[in-house]
Amino acid sequence: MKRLYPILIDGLLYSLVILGIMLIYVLAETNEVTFIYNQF
Amino acid sequence: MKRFIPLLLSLVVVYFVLSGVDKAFTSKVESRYYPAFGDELNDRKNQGMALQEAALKRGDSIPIYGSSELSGTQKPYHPVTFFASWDDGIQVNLVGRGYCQSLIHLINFGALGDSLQGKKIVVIISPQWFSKYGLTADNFKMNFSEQQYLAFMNNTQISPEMKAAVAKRVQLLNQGGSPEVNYLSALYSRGTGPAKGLRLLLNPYFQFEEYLLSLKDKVKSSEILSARNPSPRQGKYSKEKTNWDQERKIAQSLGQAATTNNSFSIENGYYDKYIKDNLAAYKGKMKNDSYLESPEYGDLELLLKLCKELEMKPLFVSVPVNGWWYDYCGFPRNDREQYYAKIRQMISSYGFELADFSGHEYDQYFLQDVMHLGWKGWVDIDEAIVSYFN
Repeated sequence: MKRLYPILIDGLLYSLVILGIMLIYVLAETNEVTFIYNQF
Repeated sequence: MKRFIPLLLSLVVVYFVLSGVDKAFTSKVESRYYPAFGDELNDRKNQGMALQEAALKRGDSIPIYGSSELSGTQKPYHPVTFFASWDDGIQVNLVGRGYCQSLIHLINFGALGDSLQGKKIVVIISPQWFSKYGLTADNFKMNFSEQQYLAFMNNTQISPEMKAAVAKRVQLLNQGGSPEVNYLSALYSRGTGPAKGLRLLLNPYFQFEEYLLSLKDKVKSSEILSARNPSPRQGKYSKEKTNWDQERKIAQSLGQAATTNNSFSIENGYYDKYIKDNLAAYKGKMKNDSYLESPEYGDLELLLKLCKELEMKPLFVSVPVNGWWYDYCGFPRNDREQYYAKIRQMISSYGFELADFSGHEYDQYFLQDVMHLGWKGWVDIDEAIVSYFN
């Protein structure tokens, strides 16, 4: 069981990162997204 | 291989979290939606899908799709004011704003797909849509919705020919717009073997993008609805008591009182603001204009085809122009007559209903200015709506 901990922790960490990116995308105003997009 | 296990695990977690969030916000929008929200002209409603879908699911409002004539909701005979009641069973749901023309509406209809199947709706067509250049790129981009476009392209009910034709128009009008939209349009409009292959390959990406935009739409729609405080209102219309001839007489007197400073039956404020100081310059200004050749006809044809494909039951409304004003500006009367006939012919060839008001060009107070529906015009449209939906 202990051997699974690092995998689970890494999995959850990745999930948080992906969900964080999506949260920013979903909550951002369209104009802001366009603004950020235009900067790059 | 072991390295990928956390990544796969995270994808499973993300999938379940997103599904839960999506379901939660879908039910939030549906439970927070109230019929009188249909009175609002709202960009989120126009360019999203959740608010329109919530209204269609409830089935207790009449969707009206149009352009700039939809504003002016405070006018006494505008459907929003006239039908404003929760008791008589009539509630309209306005969708559109200036320059929402055939192409914008058809993308929206295709996106809504199933929700509109077998549904009665109203589509108001304005002659000004049919100018020589039709919808311009700037006006298109102002009302274009990437979410609706992706949902349109991902809708399996729509024929590949229709998708290719719409993609060609979007590719033309979306110059300088989202590169993803342009790329997707190019893939659909080409229709060649390699393009088809690439489309299949990129399909999951576009579906996921649609999903994210849809989630965003639900979150924003839920926020909008939670900020509203609906209160019961009372409109003039009553199923038993309304006498349409009487209403027309009242509308006539209201129009008369509001158009006293010009001979074109144009509302005083509009005349003062837009015409008075430049009256001489307008004389003959439209003598070379025509509504007979326009890319808008192709867009309207696509809209009609799509309504057939989706088995919708639209009532089209043909609005006239202000005859006195158009004559003053030199716009050929014969050209206008041919335009009205063309619209009649196109709509009847698809077997759809048409409320044709083209004979009201010289009907005082039918319009409130040079092109927008006015006192008597709205009475006639209200009556047409009631008879179509009853």
